[in-house]
Amino acid sequence: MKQPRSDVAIPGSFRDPSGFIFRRDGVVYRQVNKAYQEHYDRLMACGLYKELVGEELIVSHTEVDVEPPDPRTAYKVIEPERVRFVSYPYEWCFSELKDAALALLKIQKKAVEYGMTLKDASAYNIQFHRGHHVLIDTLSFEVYGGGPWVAYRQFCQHFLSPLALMSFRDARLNQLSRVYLDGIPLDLASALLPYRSRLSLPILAHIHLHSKSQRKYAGSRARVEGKMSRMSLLGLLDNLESSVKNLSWKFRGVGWVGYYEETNYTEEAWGEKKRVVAEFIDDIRPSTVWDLGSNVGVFSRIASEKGAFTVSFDMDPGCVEQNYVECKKRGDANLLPLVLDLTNPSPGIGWCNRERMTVTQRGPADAVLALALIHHLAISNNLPFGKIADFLSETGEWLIVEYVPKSDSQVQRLLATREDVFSEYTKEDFEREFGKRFSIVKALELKQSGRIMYLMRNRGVI
Amino acid sequence: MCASKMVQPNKVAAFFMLCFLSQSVSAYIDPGTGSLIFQLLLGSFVGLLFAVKMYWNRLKSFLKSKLMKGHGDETAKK
Repeated sequence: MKQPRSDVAIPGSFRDPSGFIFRRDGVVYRQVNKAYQEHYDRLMACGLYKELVGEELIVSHTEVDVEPPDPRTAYKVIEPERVRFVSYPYEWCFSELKDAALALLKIQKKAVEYGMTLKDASAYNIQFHRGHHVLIDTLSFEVYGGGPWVAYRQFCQHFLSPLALMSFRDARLNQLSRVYLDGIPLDLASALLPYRSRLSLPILAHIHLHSKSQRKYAGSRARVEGKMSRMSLLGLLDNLESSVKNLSWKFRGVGWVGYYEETNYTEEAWGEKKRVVAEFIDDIRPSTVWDLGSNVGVFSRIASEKGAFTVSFDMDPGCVEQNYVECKKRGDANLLPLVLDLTNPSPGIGWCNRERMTVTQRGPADAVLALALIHHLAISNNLPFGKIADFLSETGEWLIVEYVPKSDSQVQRLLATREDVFSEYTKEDFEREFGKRFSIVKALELKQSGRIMYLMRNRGVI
Repeated sequence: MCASKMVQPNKVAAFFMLCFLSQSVSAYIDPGTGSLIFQLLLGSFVGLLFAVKMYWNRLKSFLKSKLMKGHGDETAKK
């Protein structure tokens, strides 16, 4: 049967023979295939789905009477609750990845209790939703027949390898997940980890020895036949859980944490900046906000506390970690801190570069905050105002942006070690270039700082 | 004969494989032969530890409840 013209298959879900996601008239659905019927029926009937929804460990869904895109293979069509923003493991800080790993293990333990198991352990299946890490792939479960956990290797690659590398080496190594779509290969993790990581028994076992075993049996055509007792499986999950819990990340005192303490704002100017941001947000009442270059999320919090779902991006994993820890402390379900380098933002990756979306494909936001950011992009990264305005015009309808004049001590600091080749870094140039993409609705100069806060509206339709 | 020759990992693996032989593993993602064999070996070890931990916890809570009950009875008598 010919598919309705408005159906759009979501490129990230084509690998699983159990079903796939599609979008129709702006609504996201999931087709459950006949091949998955037995497992789906068990999931829904055995009480596991109900318990996972109750504990906010899985997105809820409703079965809908919608024509499936592929009726030959379809068993059912479900409409899952929509996640506000899809984020990827290489955008998570240490604690976000750790919490995601613990959520997945908790789900697997519950599945085993109900006679089911997770057939995959992809970190991409875990998303931040209503303040919790939840599984978004309803079709990840299968009836447990007593064998080993087929997703063990994937769990180690998607979660344990990056967590160990961040814990023992450097938080920036999580970016390897961006290169390796199916998680960081264990032989690579083993080679990069310091020798002292072998003193940790779980890391020795799940990464170093596991990697050796993979190498030993690489290319083997032997079909592994084996039964693993339920106790052994629970022991493995318990051991993985302790391994993850025991990993920690310590702030090493480099990066952008503490930036706000080093700024040249007087207390009055700082307070005024917060008041102006709050006023602009009240003017436009956005439902989604992206805070670009958010540092530890001081201004993101103004938006999230006003009810806007706010994604708080910063390139420094230390800032994102601090922001996330604060969110957890406050129980802020409206704020999602993520690691993102704006000069090299998350690209489209995977098959045909479409399995994982670019950051702009996951927008647009109703409003974008770009506070104390433009001078870093323009001066530290040699980006002309026009290029910055082009990028920002792809991210949201409204823009709250701060212009920092060249006379500002922060700009002077950036220029201290280099030649000033920025003759076009003036307020007039800024307004002219941004004016091509945005209309300036308001402009307020912050007292005692010379900085100007602008509220702008995108001229284009995005 | 040196110790490393006496204990051959292949034979140990084969022994465990034979012990647990019964069912083939199939999955839509590749679990990896090396990963499966390693998991079977590790599983028996961590499974044992888990069993000890579980029964120890049960024993602890049993003793605790007994002690609490005894303490409760004495308090009630007073």
